[in-house]
Amino acid sequence: MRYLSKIIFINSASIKYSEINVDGNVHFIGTQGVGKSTLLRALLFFYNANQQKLGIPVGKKSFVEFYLPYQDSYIIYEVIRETGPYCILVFKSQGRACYRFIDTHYDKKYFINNEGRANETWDKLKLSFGKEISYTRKIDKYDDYRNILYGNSQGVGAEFRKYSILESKQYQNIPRAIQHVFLNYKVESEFIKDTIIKSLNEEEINIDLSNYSHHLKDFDTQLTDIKKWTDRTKSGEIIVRKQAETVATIFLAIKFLSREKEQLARTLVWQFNEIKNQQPKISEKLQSEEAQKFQLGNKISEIDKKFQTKKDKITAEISVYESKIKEAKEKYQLYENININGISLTIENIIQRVAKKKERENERDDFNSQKEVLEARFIDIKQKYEAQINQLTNQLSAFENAKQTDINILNENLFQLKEKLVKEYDKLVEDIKKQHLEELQFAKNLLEEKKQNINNLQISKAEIKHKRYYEIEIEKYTHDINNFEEKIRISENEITLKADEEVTLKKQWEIEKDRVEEIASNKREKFIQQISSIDDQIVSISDKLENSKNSFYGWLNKEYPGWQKTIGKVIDEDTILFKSGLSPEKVSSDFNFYGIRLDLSEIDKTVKTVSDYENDKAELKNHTTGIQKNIITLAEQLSNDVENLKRKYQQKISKCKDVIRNNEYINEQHKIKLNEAKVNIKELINKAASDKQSALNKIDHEIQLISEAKLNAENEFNRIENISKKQIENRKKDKKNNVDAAQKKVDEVIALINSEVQNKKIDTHKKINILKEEQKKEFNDKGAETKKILNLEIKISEVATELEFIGNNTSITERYKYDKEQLFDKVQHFKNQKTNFENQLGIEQDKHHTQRLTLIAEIDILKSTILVIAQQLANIAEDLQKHKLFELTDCYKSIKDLSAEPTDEFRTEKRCIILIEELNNTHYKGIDRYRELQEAINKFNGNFHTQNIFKFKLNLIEQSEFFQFAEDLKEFIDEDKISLYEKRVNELFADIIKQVGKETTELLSKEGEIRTVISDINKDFVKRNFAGVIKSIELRVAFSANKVVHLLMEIKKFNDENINDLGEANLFSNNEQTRETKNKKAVGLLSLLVKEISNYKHNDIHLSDSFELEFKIVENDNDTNWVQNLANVGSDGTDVLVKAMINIMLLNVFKEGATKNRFKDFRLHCMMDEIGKLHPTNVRGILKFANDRNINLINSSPQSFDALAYRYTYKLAKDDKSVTIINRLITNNRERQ
Amino acid sequence: MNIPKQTASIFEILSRGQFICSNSNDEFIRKLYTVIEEDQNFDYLYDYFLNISFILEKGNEYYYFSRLENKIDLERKIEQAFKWIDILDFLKTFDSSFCSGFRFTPSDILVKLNLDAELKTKLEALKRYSAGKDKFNEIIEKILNDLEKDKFIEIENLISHEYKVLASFNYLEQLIISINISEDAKHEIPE
Repeated sequence: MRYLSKIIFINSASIKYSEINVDGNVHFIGTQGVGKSTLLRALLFFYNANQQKLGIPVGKKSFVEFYLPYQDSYIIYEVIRETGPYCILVFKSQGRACYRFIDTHYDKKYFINNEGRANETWDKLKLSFGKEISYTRKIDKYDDYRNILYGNSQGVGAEFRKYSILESKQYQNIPRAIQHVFLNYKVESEFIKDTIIKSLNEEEINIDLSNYSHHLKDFDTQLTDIKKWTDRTKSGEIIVRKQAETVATIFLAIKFLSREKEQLARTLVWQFNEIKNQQPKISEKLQSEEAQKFQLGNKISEIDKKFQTKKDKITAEISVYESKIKEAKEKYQLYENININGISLTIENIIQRVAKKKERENERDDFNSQKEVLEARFIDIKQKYEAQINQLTNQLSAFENAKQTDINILNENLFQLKEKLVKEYDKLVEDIKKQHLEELQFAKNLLEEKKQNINNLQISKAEIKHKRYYEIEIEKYTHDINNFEEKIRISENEITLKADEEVTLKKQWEIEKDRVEEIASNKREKFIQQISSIDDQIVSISDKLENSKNSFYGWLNKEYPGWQKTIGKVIDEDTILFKSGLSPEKVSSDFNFYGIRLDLSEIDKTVKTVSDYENDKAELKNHTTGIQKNIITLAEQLSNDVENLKRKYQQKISKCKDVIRNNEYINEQHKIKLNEAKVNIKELINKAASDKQSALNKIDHEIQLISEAKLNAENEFNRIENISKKQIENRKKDKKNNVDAAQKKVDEVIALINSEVQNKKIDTHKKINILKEEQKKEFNDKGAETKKILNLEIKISEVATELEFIGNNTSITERYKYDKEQLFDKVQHFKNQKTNFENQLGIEQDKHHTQRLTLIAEIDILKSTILVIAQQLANIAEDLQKHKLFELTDCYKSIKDLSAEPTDEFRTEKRCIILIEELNNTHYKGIDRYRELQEAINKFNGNFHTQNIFKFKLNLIEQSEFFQFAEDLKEFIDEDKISLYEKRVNELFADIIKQVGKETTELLSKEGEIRTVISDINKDFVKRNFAGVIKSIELRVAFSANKVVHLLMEIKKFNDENINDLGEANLFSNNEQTRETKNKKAVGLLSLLVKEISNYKHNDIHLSDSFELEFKIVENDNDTNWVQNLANVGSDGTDVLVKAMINIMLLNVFKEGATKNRFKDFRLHCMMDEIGKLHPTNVRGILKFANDRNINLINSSPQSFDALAYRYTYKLAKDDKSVTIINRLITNNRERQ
Repeated sequence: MNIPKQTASIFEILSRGQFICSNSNDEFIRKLYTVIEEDQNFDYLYDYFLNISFILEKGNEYYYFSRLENKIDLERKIEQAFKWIDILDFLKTFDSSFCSGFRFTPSDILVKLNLDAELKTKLEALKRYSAGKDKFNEIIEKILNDLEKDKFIEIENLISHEYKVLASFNYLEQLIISINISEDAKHEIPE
C-alpha cells in the first residue's frame, strides 16, 4: 500500500514547523483565515504540482512566494510504500519550487539542526542525510515530478521508478479529479469520459484529422477538376474535352501553318534567288531579240524599195504600150471612117482611087489633045466664049468666095462662141464639182470609215464569239480542283486506314489484355487451389497433433520410448499411428511383432515426431504465405502488364490519332480550298459567259450605232452627189440652149448666104449655058463638031475631078501607109508586150508579197517573244519590288527560314509576288490562329483553378508558353492521362477510406468496455448511495454529436460494406456500374468529411469524441434530465456532495482501470473545504464512500462536529505574530483496528 | 410546372442585372447554372419569368435577364454601351486574348501601361468613367470594380489580387459584334 502519510511544513505558509499526519481522514478546524485552505492547497500541490490550479485567488501571493518565502522554507511529503517510506522535499530554487526525492522516512533532524534552525542549503541537508540515504537530483520541472510520482516510466529515468505511488501513463485525470473535488468544479461529461477512457487503456487512441485534411486538402477541387473531364452537358458533350479538343485542333492548325510557312519561305528564297540570277540573262535576251526585230524591219523596207523601183519600171513600159495600142486604135478608127465632102469613104477606097492617078492623068491628056484637035479651027470663037464664060465663072467664084468667107466668119464666130461657152460651163461645172468635192470626199471618207468600222466590229464579234474567256484561270482552277480532290481522297484514305488501324489496335489491346488477365486468373486459380490443398494438409496435421495425446502415437511416446526404431518402422501412420481408441497395452518386453522377428534396420523409415509435424505445419504455412505473396505479386504483375499494354497501345493509337487529326485538318483545309476553287470556277464561268455576252452586246450595239451612222453617211453622200449632179445638169442644159440658139442663128444666116450663092450660081450657069449655046450655035454655024467637043469636055471635067480627089488624098494614103507600118501591124506585138510586162509585174508583186509576209511572220514571232520576255522582265521587276517591300514587314522579320540558303528541293513555278502573298496570308492566318489558340486556352483554363490537380499552368504569357501548353494538353488527351489522375485519386481516396475505416474501427472497439464501466458506475451508485436527498445518479452513453465522428462512422460502415469495390478496378470487384456508384458515394462522403474537418476546431478525434456521456441526477424532485454538463445541483451542499461523489467515483474508476497491472494497492486523498455545509450524516456518508474506494478525505470547517468520523482532527490557530500553529486535537485509532 | 427550388436565388441574382456563369468561382453560382441548364428547367424558368416581364436569355455559358426597354431609357443605355465599348477596347488592347477564362491582375495592366502607349491613351480616355479619379491604378481599380459589380469578372485570388474573366464577358463582345457599321457610315467616324 502506497500513500501520502505525512506533510511537514518548515518555514512555510506562516508555519514555523509542523508535522501533519494524513494517513487517514483528516479534519482541520479553526477560525476563518488561520490557514485551513492553505494546508489543503499544499496537499493538492502534492498531487497536481501545478501552481496555477490550486485555487489561489487572483491578487494573492503566488505559491512560491507564500509557501516557500525563504531559502530555508520547505514542504516535505512523506510517502509510505511497501519497501519503506520516502520523502519528497519541496524547496525554492531560483525562484521556483523544486523537488528532490529522498529515500528515507521523515526525520526532523535531517532538516533542523541542533540549533533549532532549518538547514538552509542543500549542502547542509546532504551532510545531515549522511551517506546511507540516497536522494535524487533536483527536479525543477513539474511534469517530471508528476511522471515520477504517478509512475509514467517513459518520461523519467530508472532511478526514479521507486518513488512512484502508482504506475500509469494516463495519470493526468487523478490530479484533475482531486483538484475538481477541492475546487468544486462543475461536472463535465468531457472530463468523465476522458477519465473513463484513460482508465481503459494507457495508449491514447485518436484519429489524426490533420493527416486526412492534408491528404484531402484539395480533394474537392481535384475531384471537380477530374469530374470536369467526365461531366456531360445535356446535349451529351463534355465541355472541357471539347475545349481541349479545340485547343489541340487549333494548335495542329498552327503547326500545319508554320510548316506551310516554312515551305513557302524556302520556296520564296529559291524563287527570289532564281529571278535575281535570271534578270540579267533575260534582259540580254530581250536586247538581242529586239536587235533582230530591228534588222528584220530594215530588211522589209529594203525589199519594199527594190520592189517599188521594179514596179515603176514595169508600169512605165506597160503604159508605153498601152498608149501605143490606144493610138493605133484611135487612128484606125479615123482611117475607117474618112469623110470627104460629105461622103464617107473607107481608106481602102481612097487608096484604090489614088493608085489610079497615072491612069487618070493619061486619060486627061488624051481627052485634052482630042479636044484641041477638034477646036483648032474655031479658036477665035472658042476664045471669045471662053473669055466670057471665064469671066462669068470668075465672077461666080468671086461671089462664092465672098459668101464662103462670110460663112466662114460666121462659123468662126459660132465656133468661138461655142468654145467660149464650153469654157465657161466647164468652169462652172468645175466650180460646182469643186464646191462639193470636199463635202463629198468627207462624206465618202466617213462612209468608208463606217464601213471599215463595221467590218472591224464584225471581225471582233466573230473573235469574241469564238474566244474562251478566262481560259487560263478556269484551267488553273480545274487543275486545282482535281489536285485538291486527289489530295482529299488521299487524306481520306489515310484517315480510314488509320481509323481502321486504331480499331485494330484497340481490339488487339483488348485481346492481349484479356489474354493477360486470363493467364493471371488461371495462375491465381492454381495458387488458390494450392493454398486450399495446403490448408487441407495443415488441417490433417493439426488433427493428428490434436489427437496425438489420445492416439496410439501419444501412448507410444509416453509408454514406449524408442518405439520409432521398432514398431515405428512398420506402422501405418494414418490408419493406425494416429488412431485413438486402440487401447494399446504393453504385453511383454520381448522384441517381437506378433510372434515374428524382423530386422528392422533394413527398413529405411523414420516416423515423424510431433515437432516434425509442427515443422511440417510451419513449413506448409510458410508455403501458403509464399503462395499468397505470389498471388499479390501476380496481381501487381497483372496491373503492370495491363499498364504496359496500355502504354504500348496508347502510344500507337495516339500516333494514329495524330495522323488522323492531321489529315482531318489537311482534309478540311483542302475542302475549303476546293470549295473556294469550285466557287471561283463557277464564278469565272459565269463571268466568262456574262462577259462574253456583254462584249457581244456591246459590239452589237456598236455595230448598230455605226450602221446607223453609215446609213446617214450614205444618205449624206448621195444627197451631196445629187445636188452636184443636178447643178451640173442644169449648167449643161443652159450651155446647150445657148449653143443651140447661136447655131440656129448662124445656120439661118448661112442658109441665106447659101441660097444667095445658089441663086448666083444658077444665074451664072444660065448665063454660061446661054453663052455655050451661043458658042455652039456659032460653032454649029461655022460647022464645028460641037457635040463631040462637049462630050470631051464632060469627060475632061470628070477626070479633073478625079485627079483633084487623088491629089487631095494622096497624103492621107501616105500617112495611112506609115501608120499601118508603125502601128496597125504592130498592135499584136504591143499587146503581147503589155501582157508580158503585166505578168512580170504580177510575179514581182507576188514575190515581194511572199517575202514580206515571211519577214512579217518572223517579226511577229519575235514580237511575241519580246512581249513574253518583256512581261517576264516586268514580272521580275515587280517581284523584286514586292520582295523589297516585303522585307520591311513584320512577317518577313518573323520568318527565319527566309535567310536560309536556296535549295533546288524547293523549286517552283510560282511567282515571288504570289508566294509573298501566300506567305502573308499564312502569316496572318497564323496570327489569327494564335489568337484563337489563346482564346481557346483561356477558355479551357477558365475551368480550372490555379491549384488544379493536373498542374496546368494558368498564367501563360509568352507564345512559347501557349504552344507548350497546347502541346502538353494534346499529349495529356492523347495519352489519356486523365485516367491516370482518376486512378491516382481513386486509389488515394480508397486508401483514405480504408484508413478511416481502420482507425474508426479501432476507435469504436472500446465502446463495449466503456459501456461496461458506465453500467458498473451506475450500479455502484445505486448500491452505495448514502444521501437520501439524491434519488439517483445515472450515466449513459449517447451517440456522438460530433459531425466528424458521424462521418467517420458512415465511412467506416461504407468501407465495411464495400471493402473490395473501392478505388481502382481490381479483379475482385463487381461490375463497373456498381463500382461507379460506390465510388461516387465514397467521394461524397469524403467531400463531406473534408468540409467538416475544416469546420472542426481540433486537429484530431479522440476516443472521447466517439460517444457522448450524459448524466442525470435526481435530487428530491429536481431532475436534471440527461445533461452533459452539470454546473449546479440543488443547493450548495447538495451540489458539493454530488460533485464530490462523482469525482470520487471517477477516481475510483481510474484507480481500478488505469493501474491494473501492478500497482493496485495505493491510496489517494481528496480535499474538501468548508465541509460544514454538509449534514454530519452526509459527511460520514461521503467519508465512507471515499474510504471504500481507498481514498482518504481531508476536510476543513470552522468547527468539529463529528470527530470520530476522522482519524485526525487538527486545530489551527494564529499567534500574535500571525504564525500559524497547528495542534492535533484527536487521533482516532479505532479505525485501525 | 416544375419550377426548380433555386428559382428565388436565380431571380435574385439575375434581377440585379447580373449574370449566372458556368465558370464562376462561386460554387453556388455554378450550381445555379447547372440547375438552369438541366433538362426542362430552362423552358420552365423562361415561361415563369416571362410572366413577370423578364426574359431569361441564354448566352454562351451564361444566363441573364433582358427586358423590353422604354424609348426614354434608350439614351442612357447607349451611353452605358459606349462605356462598355471603351472598356472592352481598352481590355482587348491590353491583351488581345482577353476573353472568358482569362486571368490577370491589375498590376499586369499597370506593367503593360508602361510599355504600350496606345494602352495608356485608351486608359486616359477612360478617365471620364472613373468619377474624378486621376491615377492610373485608381482608374483601373474603378473599371475592374465596375466589371466585377456587373459580374463580368470575378476576383479569384484575394492575396495576389487575381481576377478571372467570366463567361458573361462574351455578352460585351456580342454587344460590339452586333453593332453594324455600314460601309458608308465608316467614313463618317471621325478619326
